[in-house]
Amino acid sequence: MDKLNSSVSGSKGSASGIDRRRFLKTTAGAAAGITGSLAAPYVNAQSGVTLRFLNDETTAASQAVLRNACKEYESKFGVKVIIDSSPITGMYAKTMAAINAGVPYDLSTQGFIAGILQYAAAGLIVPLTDLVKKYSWGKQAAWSYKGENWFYPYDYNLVTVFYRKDLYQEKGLKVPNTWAEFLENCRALTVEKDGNIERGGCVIPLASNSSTDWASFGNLFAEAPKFYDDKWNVVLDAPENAGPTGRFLDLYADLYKTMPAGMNTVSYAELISLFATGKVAHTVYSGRVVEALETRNPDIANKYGIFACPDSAGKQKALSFAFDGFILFKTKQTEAAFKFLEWFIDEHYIDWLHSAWMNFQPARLDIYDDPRWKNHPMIQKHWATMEKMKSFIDEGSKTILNSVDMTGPSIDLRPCKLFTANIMPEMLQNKVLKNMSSGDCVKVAADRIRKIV
Amino acid sequence: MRQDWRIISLFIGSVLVLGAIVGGPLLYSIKLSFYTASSFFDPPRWVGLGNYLKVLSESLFWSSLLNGITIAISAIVLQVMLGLSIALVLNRQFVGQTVVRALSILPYFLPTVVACLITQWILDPNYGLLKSVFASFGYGMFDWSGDATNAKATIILVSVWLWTPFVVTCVLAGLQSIPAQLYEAARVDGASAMKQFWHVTLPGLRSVLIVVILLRAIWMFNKFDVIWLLTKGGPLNQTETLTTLAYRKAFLQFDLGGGAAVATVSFLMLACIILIYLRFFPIDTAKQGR
Repeated sequence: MDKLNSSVSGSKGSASGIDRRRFLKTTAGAAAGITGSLAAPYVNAQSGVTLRFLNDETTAASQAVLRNACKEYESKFGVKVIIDSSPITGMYAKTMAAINAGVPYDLSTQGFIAGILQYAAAGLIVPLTDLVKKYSWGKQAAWSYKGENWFYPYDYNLVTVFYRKDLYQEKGLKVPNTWAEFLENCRALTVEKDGNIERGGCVIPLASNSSTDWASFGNLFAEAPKFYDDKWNVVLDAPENAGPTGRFLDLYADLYKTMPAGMNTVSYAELISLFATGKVAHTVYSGRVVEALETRNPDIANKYGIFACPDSAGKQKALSFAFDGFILFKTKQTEAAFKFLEWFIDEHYIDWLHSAWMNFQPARLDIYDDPRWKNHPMIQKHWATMEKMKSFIDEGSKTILNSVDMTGPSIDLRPCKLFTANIMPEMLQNKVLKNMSSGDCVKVAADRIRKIV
Repeated sequence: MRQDWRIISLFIGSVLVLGAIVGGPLLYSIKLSFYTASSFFDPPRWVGLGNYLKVLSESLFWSSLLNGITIAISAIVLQVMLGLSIALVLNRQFVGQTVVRALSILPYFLPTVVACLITQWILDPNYGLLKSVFASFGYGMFDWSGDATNAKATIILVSVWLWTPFVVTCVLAGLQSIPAQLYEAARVDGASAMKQFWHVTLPGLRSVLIVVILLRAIWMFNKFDVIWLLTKGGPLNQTETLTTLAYRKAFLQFDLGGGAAVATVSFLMLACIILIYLRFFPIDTAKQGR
């Protein structure tokens, strides 16, 4: 029996060339190998991290910088960063959809304060205070909410007034110091033909959209009326504020007569194109105008100047403004996203700023002394403009920086609602399209603000 | 019998899918209208009928409703009249009929965004094509967006441009289903072309027109894209409709409950209008009558 068994066993062993022990070893090894090779991608994916970055800077140059940076980061650290781009108008809905679907973005650019405040209040983003505090910032750039900095700014979008120096020289005009002087200059530069305005004195948007909220109220801010008191009561229609606001509306109505047709649908693109094509003598916009001039009409790129919006008495200047920055969402990968952001700021911040060399006016003050940034040929060429823009954000600057979404005693969602409800654009429309009295326009606007806050 | 079960299971499947993708959001929207929330991640607070009372007390709601009805009715009347006329022409035999029929449907394939951008380029008061045409005759250009009538007219015209081909297609199909013997009999009785149209063509198209008007009414009343792309409800909310108002409230004014309340009221109104319409113009009876 033993013999038989042994012979059977021996014959088995000789037939296959392996005994039970070897068979078990081989099988286990093969199984481990198969499992290992099948699991490799999974293990690989676990060792690396994939971050999702929602970006609202949609120019080809800015997207290229991000793409290249992400590629470099992946090759160096094995962390993949997927860029998803959307125009700024689609950012909020896209972010909300991602959060509600349970797949929030890890980081994102942000250009509107309302989103940041809502995300911060809901505990969806993490503070970046330590990162922000490493640097010194221009006026009002590094604002805080509930004692923390929630976003890392990269630019200001100051709305300066662009004017044609050659036309000023031709007509012997001076840079205006008061509303009356500005109006006079606009009138002097308006050209009419066959009942049409061939060249407008200025373009200041009137449409019910963000371009009007952003760009049309510099002259009003120079008069410094209060929209709210310290307890968020609306005081825009109180005599001390209704007066200057009403006078501003009178000014706007006069300026409107020097503007080309179509102000009611004018948006960001037209503010640039009307100036770049010589259709208006003044426009209101950020540094993007200079970039557009260099691309589309280099002749005018050598003939423009900028100034801040004056008040009625020549005592005070103001600029409406916005900003852009990075935020970090609270996800399972926040730490990895933070590392990426830190690396990006160290390694690619200058490239990023160069991707919109004039529009991305640095919010960080050390950048202005950084030769890597400063030596960009276009920044060199337009250094006088950049210096002037910087002078507006210096802490000591007397130029008021304000924005419809940042009016009020503190950073809050309430003025953001004022911004998105288009109450201010409609105040202008009531004045120029409905011919309402300035006092009534202010009253209607104040009542509407009360309803939404 | 087995086939019947297949049909029933397909039907149930479709109902379930539709229920999930249409019914789900609808119920969620109705639920949301009883709450106040500034965003989808903000914890909603129960306010009962508060949003409805607030929305119905706003003059903007009623002016938006009126704007929506004005735009919808004007566009439908023009679409049906034009569509019917074009279909009658295309129903006749002529050289190149097939090519002309194909061309007449082309605007239907045009994406709305493209149509609106083309319109803006044509009407732009500074660079527009129309400005050049007017200037060549010594006239100035009008500002299409600065005046409520012009802005509404532009929205209506773009809608007519885009959707008349749909009416043409439906009516053309309807025309081809009218038996030729009816026209022959009418001619034998001495009926003129106009009488043939009134007594043969129109009754023959009744069921098609009822459906076309119904569909166009639903789509026009809920029209968002053309209005948003052209005027965004301006100037001064004079082209605002309930659809744009709902969007504005929910996504621009951070009032999800208010936006949902507007959308719900709009839905209920449309449902009532459709029920009344179908009561007066029942589709089945129309078929039998024909």
